[in-house]
Amino acid sequence: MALKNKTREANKLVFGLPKGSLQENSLLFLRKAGFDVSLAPRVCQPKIDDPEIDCYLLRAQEIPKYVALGKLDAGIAASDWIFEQKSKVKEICDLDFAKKTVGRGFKWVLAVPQNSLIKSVRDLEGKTISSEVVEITKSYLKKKGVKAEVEFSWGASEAKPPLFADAVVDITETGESLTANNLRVIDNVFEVNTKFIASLTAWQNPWKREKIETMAMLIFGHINGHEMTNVMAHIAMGRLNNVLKLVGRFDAPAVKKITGTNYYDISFRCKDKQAREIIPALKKAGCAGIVQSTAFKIG
Amino acid sequence: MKNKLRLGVPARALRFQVLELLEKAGFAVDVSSSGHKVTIDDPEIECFFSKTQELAEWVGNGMLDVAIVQRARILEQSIKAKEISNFKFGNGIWDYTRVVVAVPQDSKFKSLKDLQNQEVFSRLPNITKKFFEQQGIKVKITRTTYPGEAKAEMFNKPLVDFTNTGRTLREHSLRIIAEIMQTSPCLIMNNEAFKDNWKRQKAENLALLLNSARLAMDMIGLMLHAKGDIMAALLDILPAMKKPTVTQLRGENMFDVLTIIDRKQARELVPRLKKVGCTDIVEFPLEKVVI
Repeated sequence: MALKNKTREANKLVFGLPKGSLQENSLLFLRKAGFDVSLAPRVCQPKIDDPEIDCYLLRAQEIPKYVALGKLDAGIAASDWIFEQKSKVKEICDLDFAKKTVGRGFKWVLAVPQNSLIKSVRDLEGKTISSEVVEITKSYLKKKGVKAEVEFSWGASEAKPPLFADAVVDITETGESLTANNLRVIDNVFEVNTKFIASLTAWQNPWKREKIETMAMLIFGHINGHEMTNVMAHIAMGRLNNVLKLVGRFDAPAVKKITGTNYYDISFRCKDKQAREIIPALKKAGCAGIVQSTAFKIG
Repeated sequence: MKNKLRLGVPARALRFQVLELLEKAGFAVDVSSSGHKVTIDDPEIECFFSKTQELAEWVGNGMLDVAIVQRARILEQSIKAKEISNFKFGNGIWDYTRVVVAVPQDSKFKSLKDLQNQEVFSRLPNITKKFFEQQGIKVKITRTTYPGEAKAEMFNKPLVDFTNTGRTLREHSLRIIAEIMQTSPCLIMNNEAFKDNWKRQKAENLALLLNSARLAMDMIGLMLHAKGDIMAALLDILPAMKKPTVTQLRGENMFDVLTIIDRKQARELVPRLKKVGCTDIVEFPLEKVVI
């Protein structure tokens, strides 16, 4: 018994969850992947219903650092802070899936005042750029072959130009805050993804690696499931071939004869977005009883 | 504009339900933080928010190709447009809205006849005029804008207004004495745009998706197993809304039945199915249904 307890003690995965804007989504996908995480207000150590995992809620900026140092075995972090801190970590997978977005996400952009003479990054030669992400900005300038001074900003960067800097590299989702401060975006600098990362030392440990891979698999299973939906329809025998041509491009459509009738039941899996194109097409091809649901089984 | 459908979306009472249906139809929907602009993830559809009075007018004059507009508004404003489809919901409910004549609770008005030569407040003056003419009752109609209930209560006047649950009328001590019409949101299309094949197809597909999402809210899927000898009894119980998908399980006198039923029927139906001997009964939610 004592021995058993000891092994269990050794087999712990220390996991970092980001506080702030990524928090809600991170908890959501852990829950969907089957982990029940409960979070009391102001407590920074959420409870997770897996005795082999210890969870810590930390500032998103610090998670890559602690994972790189091996203080955290794994965690959820944003790609900008991984880059900014030059953290050497193992990237397991991307987690940008759950939120439906209309062609946008968080990104760092280069912006100048509306009436500025600066039209592109080339015009910034010898000028000053203010940013919270100095490393990202420097690497961007290097890529563009532009020499400019990059000044660290503690925040409120929108207020800096033109008085305190010639341009800013700032984070935006909708661009509204930039427009409100009379700024104009002249280039995209860095697109932000949410990532599941692991420390290189934890990755060497077979037990930890397996645990991390299992978590990744559960999360990925959920990601795929999240995007996929099932469609089922009835079609008269004479029109079956036309309909099969329509759905042939999807994963293994199943065709069953409906007992005692001249009708066939076809069912297939497709992406949510594809469903909105295929359903009107099925209707046009003569299908009846078209049903879309994530819940029924195919086959 | 080529291959672009301009869609007007109600900005006020029907707003949230229209956005919900768009999402359920499979579109990602984004509203700007000012709340004035709506974008969906279909580059071929450009959306506009506005009051339905204006949307109806703009579809009529061709500024918009299509819009979702309350049916009563189209009649009220005599809008000439093609009606593509209508949707069963009202403000805050997933049922039809009614246009009614209501009177103050403790007034001398008991029936429509008592309104002879009276002043009537109305959100829909043209519809009201036509209605009372048909009834052979002479009234003086005063146009009023939203909200009508409080004004009718304060000035002790009969009122013609929209009602969904009847709650606001009750709150203002108003009693319904007649129903003028049922109304529901419709997808209407500009007559010129309707002649454009691409636009018409796009609008019809949009209507189909919105309707399929709306219908799926009222229905659920049902999956079960049944022995061969109870199949006849089973098919008797199942409503004929949609032919059930019956497949025989390999090598057994056992069938797999998959069907969809009205959500409200489920609570009566499931115990009956159990009683005739069905096993492994599973209810599941639906996202879209096209019958």
